[in-house]
Parts: sequence; structure tokens; C-alpha cells
Amino acid sequence: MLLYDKPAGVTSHDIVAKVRRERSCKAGHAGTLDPFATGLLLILLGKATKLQRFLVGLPKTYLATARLGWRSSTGDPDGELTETGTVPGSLELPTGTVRQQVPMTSAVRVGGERLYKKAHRGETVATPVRDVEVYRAELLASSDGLAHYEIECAAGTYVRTLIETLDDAYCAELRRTAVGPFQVEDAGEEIAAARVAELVPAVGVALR
Amino acid sequence: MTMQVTSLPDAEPRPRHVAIGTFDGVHLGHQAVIDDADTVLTFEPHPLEVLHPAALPKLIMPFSVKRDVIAGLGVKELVVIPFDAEFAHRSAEDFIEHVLIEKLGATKVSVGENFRFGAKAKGDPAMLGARQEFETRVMPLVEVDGETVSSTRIRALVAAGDMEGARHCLGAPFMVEGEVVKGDQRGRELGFPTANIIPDDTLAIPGHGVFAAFADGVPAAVNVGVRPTFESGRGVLIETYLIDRNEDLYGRILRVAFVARLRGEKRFPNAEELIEQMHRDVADAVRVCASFQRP
Repeated sequence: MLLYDKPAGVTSHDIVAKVRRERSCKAGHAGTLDPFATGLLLILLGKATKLQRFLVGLPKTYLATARLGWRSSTGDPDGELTETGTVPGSLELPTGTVRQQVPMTSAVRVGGERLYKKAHRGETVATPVRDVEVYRAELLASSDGLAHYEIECAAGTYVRTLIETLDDAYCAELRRTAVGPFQVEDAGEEIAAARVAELVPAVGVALR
Repeated sequence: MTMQVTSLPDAEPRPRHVAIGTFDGVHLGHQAVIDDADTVLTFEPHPLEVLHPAALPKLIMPFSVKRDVIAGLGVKELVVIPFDAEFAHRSAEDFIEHVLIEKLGATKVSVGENFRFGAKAKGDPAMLGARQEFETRVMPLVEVDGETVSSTRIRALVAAGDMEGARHCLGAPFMVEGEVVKGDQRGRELGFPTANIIPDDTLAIPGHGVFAAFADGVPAAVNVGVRPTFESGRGVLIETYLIDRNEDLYGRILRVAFVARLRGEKRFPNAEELIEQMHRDVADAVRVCASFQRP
């Protein structure tokens, strides 16, 4: 498994395709990062691609920057941006069990097709609603119309949707700093399957 | 009238009208907050440097420039909070009780609508407004050219080389300050000796290109970039040609106020064509500076 620090502006799939070409082996990732987001992608190589389903459920840690007084049609900087000029009264994000409506621009499949493909054609459909767990959402600082958060949450949580709960705000920057026991500081490292099994119990059970 | 600069621990309580903020850039929104206040309370370094260094942007101005711009607004005293991890842990209530009331004796407090303070940014203008000890004035965000003025917006304008846009938001030209260092004397050989500043990595600089500017008040043509015609092995440099001046500026602190971008960075096939272009740049800079009126 390769720890990769994804830059902004490329899709997670782009990164996987690049790694696959460079190493001419099977490759896959264990959890998408939006194109605008940066940070840790777990890239599985060769036979390790089979471990994907044991890794996608790991909790995630993010550093997120909310731009206040603005809205985005997609909740991120790639959408249509409009200034509302209204500064949110409270900068507190919900924690615990949070009900989220999956955004239209997401990789979730509805009727066998990914939502972003429908969105790209201008279609809107009823997107699924699901409960996610937000373990911690700490406001680190706020200045210059920006609010900076550190967020720990379960797999499947949409941080941009969480930030939209402030109303007049969108997620301007998003960086994934950790996936389960793996840290973005260690990006570039390759981790042997046996070590992954030690760190992630579910993988250990699967490999037994 | 000179402004007194005080470190918070040395401040004496007296009835004050205090404007609070980080005020990077001292832009028109900040100026609206500071208006009428006799004391400005600010943080040094920028709180993000302590709270969340990864999110610290390139600052619009160093403390020395911020201090002078605030002094120019007619403020009597600038109180500086040495911002460190310990101060960052103080709660919003603690900040109100012990800094604003006890230490400064504030009778009136002005903040911007989006001002947050105290540990975990829990303090907001409403919390200040609820206090009986002082009157609170909350200034709404200021709009220029149809969009809210913010330090974030100004940084983007500066990075894009849009000096007019930045000036509209700042109420004054964007400025870079630095010590003049010895270059490789190339400008001298080309007939355009320049005063060179190595930009501070923590501060915003205009996107690469050629600019009309005032250097310590003197019209100037300025190149910001890596000088594509020559392989110099140096990093980004701000090279200022002061028009019709020829004095040795080495070691001096120079302030360059950017007025307009004249052209982008370009590689020339030879020195002759570069010199021709430099003559045109200087003529353009003279024209732009002559028609410039302080906002």
C-alpha cells in the first residue's frame, strides 16, 4: 500500500491511473478525495487491491477551511460561487450522528450511475440521505472571513455538506491528514500488507 | 502627532475607544473599524502562525508597515498582543475581562462583523455587545466594486498583479518593503541600474511582471520575477529602477508602492531588444505615475 499526498485539481482516479502506468501493476484507492481536496490517499498495489473493502471504512481526519459569507452550488470552490455577505452567527459544526443528504456532485451511485455524471448533464434527482458520525469538529481559528476546522469523522461523511450547515459558507479548502492509523506526513512511504494487517484489525482477520 | 506603540503587558488602563483586529493590510474594511478609535489592539505574529500554521497565508504587510499605516489614520496608541500558545488558550470571557476591561480600561470597542476571538474562536461580536462595561460598535463588511473587501481577496488581487483592484480595496497602493541588496550588476551594464530587494518569503508579492511604482515617493519601473533573459541562479527578485535618480541605495530600506502592472514577464532573444523594451517600460511608468492621484 502506497501513502500518497494528492494535490488539488486532479481526481483520485487520475492519481491511481498514474501510479498504475508508472508501476505497470494493478492499482486502486481506498476512498475518494474530491478534485479540489488535497491530502492522504491510500493506494493499493497489486494483490493488495483486494484489501480495498477492509480499508474504505476507516475514519478520516481533515483540515477544512470554510469561506464565510459565500455560497457554492456544489459546496466547494468548483461550483458556482455567490457572495451573500451574511456572516454565519455561529461557527459551530454539528457532531455526533449527523443526517446528511448526499450531494449531487458525488461519486455515489443512484440507479447504477454515479451522481456527478447525472449532475454533469444538468439532471437533478433525489439523492440518498444517510446518517454519518462526526467524532470531533474543532474550530481552530477564524480570521479574514475564513474559519479553519479540524474534523474527525466516519467514512462516508461529506465535509462540504457539514460546512453547508453554517448556511452562508462553503468548503474552500480541504486536506485529509489521516485515514485510520495512516498519516499524510508519511506520504511517499510504502507499507507491506503484513504491516497494514497489524495496524488495521479488519485486514488482519481477512489475511488469516 | 506620533502614535505610541505598546506591548500589552506594558499598557496602562485609561478610558479608551479600542478597535480590535489582526488588520493585515489595513484595508477599507479595517479602516471603517478603526475610524474614531484612539487605540488599536492587534496581534503579532498573525494568530494563525500559532493556531494553524498550515493555513497561514502570505501576509499583505509586515508589522512595520502596518504600524505606519495605522499611525496615518490618526490613532493615538497601538497596543500589540504578543500572540503565543499561552495567549491562544485564553477564553473569550478571559480576554474581555482581563484584557479589554482590566488592562486597557475600554469604554468603547469596535470590531468587524466577522471578528472572532478567544480559545477555539468562541468569542464573537454578540458576546462583546452583551457586556455592560463598554459600548460595542460592530462594523458591517465593506463592499468595493460589488464584492466584500477582505484580506483574502486582496491577496488574490496582488498575486494576479491587479494593482488597481488591490488599491481600490486597500485605499492605498500595495507596498513592499525591504533592504536593498547587491545584485549581479546586470542592470547597470544595460543602462538601468536597479535597487534590488529579495522578497520576504512570508509576505505577498505581486505576480511576476513589470510594474509602474513609487519607490520612496520616486516614480519607478519595477520588475518582479526571476529575470528570464538571463540565467542568474537567484530566486525571485524585486528590481526597482528609480527614474532620473542615480544614488547608491545599498543597505537602505526601500518602500515600493505598486501603481499598475505594465506587462508580463518575457524572455528576449538578446540584450538589445531587452534594452529597447526597458526604454518603453520606463516611458510607460513615467506616464502612469504622472497621472496617478492618491485615492
